[in-house]
Amino acid sequence: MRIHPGVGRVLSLLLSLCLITGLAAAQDVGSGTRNLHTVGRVSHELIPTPAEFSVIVLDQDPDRPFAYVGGRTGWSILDLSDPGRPTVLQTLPSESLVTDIAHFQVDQQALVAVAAGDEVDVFDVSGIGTGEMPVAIRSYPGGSSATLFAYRHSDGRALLIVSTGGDAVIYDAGGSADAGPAASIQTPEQVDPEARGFERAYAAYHADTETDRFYGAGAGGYHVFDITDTDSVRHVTSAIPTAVRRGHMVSATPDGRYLLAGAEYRAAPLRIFDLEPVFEGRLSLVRTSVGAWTHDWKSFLLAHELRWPLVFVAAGERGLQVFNMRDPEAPYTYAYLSTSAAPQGEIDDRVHDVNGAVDVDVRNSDGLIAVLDRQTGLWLVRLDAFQGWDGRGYGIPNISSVQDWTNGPDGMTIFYSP
Amino acid sequence: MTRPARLLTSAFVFTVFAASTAAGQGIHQPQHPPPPGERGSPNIRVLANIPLGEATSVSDIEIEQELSRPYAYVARRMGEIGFDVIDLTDPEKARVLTRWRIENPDLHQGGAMDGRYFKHEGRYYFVQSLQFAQGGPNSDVGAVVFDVTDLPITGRVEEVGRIRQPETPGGFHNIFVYKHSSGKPLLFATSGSYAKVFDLDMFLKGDQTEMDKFTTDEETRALVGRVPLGPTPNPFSTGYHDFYIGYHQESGQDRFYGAGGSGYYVFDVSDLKNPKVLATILNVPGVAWGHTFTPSPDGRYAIGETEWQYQPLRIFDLKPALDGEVENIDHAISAWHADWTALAHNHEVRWPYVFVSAYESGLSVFTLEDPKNPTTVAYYDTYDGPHNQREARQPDSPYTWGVYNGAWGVDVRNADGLIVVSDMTTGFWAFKMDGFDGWNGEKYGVPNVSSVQDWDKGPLGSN
Repeated sequence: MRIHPGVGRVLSLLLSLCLITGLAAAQDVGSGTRNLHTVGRVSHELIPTPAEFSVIVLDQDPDRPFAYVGGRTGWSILDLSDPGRPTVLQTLPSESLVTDIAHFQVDQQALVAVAAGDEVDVFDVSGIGTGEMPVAIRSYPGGSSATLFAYRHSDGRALLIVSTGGDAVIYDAGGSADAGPAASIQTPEQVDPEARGFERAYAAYHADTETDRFYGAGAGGYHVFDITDTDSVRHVTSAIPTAVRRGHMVSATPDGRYLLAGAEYRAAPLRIFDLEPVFEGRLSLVRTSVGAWTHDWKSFLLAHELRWPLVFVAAGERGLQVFNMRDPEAPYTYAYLSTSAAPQGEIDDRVHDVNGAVDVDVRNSDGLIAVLDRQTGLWLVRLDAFQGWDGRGYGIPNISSVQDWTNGPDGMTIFYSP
Repeated sequence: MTRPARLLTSAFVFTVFAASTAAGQGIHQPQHPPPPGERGSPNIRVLANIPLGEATSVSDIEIEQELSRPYAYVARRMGEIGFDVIDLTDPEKARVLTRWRIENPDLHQGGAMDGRYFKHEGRYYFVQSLQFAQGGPNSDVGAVVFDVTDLPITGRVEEVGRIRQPETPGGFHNIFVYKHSSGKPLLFATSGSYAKVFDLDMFLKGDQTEMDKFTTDEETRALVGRVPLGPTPNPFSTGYHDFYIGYHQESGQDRFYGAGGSGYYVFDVSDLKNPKVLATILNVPGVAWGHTFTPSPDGRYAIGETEWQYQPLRIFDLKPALDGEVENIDHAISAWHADWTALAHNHEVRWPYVFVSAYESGLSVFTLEDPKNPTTVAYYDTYDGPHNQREARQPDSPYTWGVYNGAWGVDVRNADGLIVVSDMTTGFWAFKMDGFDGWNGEKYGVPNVSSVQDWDKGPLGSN
């Protein structure tokens, strides 16, 4: 049969279109923007804390190339000396799901707090890498969904903040285990008392006011407290959006001006709140965001790490997403990597059906990005032109979730003895 | 390109479009403002656009359903409080037929919001809801009723009267007219902490004083009713914002679907003296308040809206609550966005299609053929203003004012599928969607129940 030349050209074009469409529809695990490069992987079968990974934490000490991975049955320590060949060093079983891990230092002793079940256990991990096992040294009360944040206070203390859905409890991790909490923070009076409590916390030094600030996500939204004096915690302000009944996560830009906040349901973008009107005394709280970001509104944004102006997001089935918020009113997607083959979860408001990338961390010393995917395991990734992060290189305080355990928060006035 | 090639290309494009829609992928609506030339999907045709006045002076819209009465009513606010009547004799040559404005407009603070028409004893009436602040005249007026039977003779449009509620000043934000299974033409109106129910037959035959009496006198409340707000665990609001009333064929009940308080509520209002809660939708993450709530024709599914930026329309399955398995629904089964950076506003359900006036995104149409996977099937961006207007934002307000502009209201004429939209800034719009030439539920295998009433016969299946 002789095909008309015009029809032949169109058929050829259509065939190409079908191929392109088919390829685009079946996006492979590992595909993404060409500015992200996978340098190492540990499949979930190789980590003896199988299934339902929950948390990844990178040791930020350049001399300690370790990662801590938590999951349903325990937590593992990985050696990242060669990111291209990460290996599992040790695994510690747990009867309960490990809901969070925090790494911190006290007197140059490397410690890891692990939240599982009703307890938060603190381990000395100084000797790992030399064959020594982590040693449990103390415990704090936890909860079935406890989250942790370790903060180096401007007064020199290492604080461990435990959020369990109720009050956020702050412990002096270098003090006596029997001393009890250094502070306990309740949601402010603007929040319905029956709905009180925090899901997750972040703390950072606020250079402008030379204060230590606690940022809590929980009932009503997001709340900022001054914890400079932990004996006299003071509510600074809140972001209480009507569309968020319960905040899920929050962090602040290094200057403390903007909050980056996630909610407890799918379809919620990361909202960006500008606190400037509060700091200028024009408002006591804010209720609407100035911007928001999501790569796909159906994805579940589960965790994020802010390294201004970039934000690294564990976006469930959408894998790792990176966006730029230099203009907080117009953030844009900067890079992404598909880590998951999981199907799109149902757009159900309940916090379940969690798949794909569940947590992310960034090592400031060299820019290594670690993404934990519930199904495919650990991904070690590098982003072009991101070889580490120090806020001072951007003209802002060097403040992120990473603490300088030796020198304390950036922005402090430092006096040297003659 | 040769003719065979063109035919083949057309066939391919159609096949890809149909296949993607059938596969549940739908089509992608670009974010506002759309790229050049991408204002509408190929299956939407603009019939008319009439700019009506200054920006943000337009509110809701209503279209009469009989083809012999080709009229739409567009509510107006700001400095133009009243409504405009649009003549759709030839939809492609739509024109403003007449306008009504409140007297002494400079003294009134507020505007006309929702408009509904009804037919009773052979005559046609239009009810325009009004909201005026105290400190000016008519703060007790909730609605004004006009006899519009003699349109297009504009000189014979007459004001019949005003429904006043001095006990709860501030007017009616939303109204709904419903042919009750008892045969009564009813007006449901947001007022105070209730949805107040007015018997329009009594109103037409009475006067304002008598109407006040009917709504406050226990002895005569049998003739009207008040639907209370259901449980409000998170009391953002103590009243209703909006509602829909539909006949539920399976149970033979008249059902009220209210949005407000802390979410959404379903009541049996068959007996207006004793409204009964059938289901609540409360404690849904992200939902502290309900704005609009519209069920599917069979009453199983419902679409819920909250009026905040970034919030999707949520789809709820009411069955577990209506079957008595649970008292409350606390999650959606799916959600839909026209543009996640904005928000969708009002909607009209013509199963499986949902026609949405999506503020900045304009008109959007999605299908609920698979309720767990709603997908966009058509769109047209009617709004030409900026996204999230900076001047309108109020960071300490619970409302996201920056995105409250664009398509406010939408309505659909069942007889021929004509779609009309009122855009706050760009005015009146009329559209046709390819393949949608009218709606009758029975053709889709569902009860013929929508916001459209059969004023002559009442709800199908009722007595």
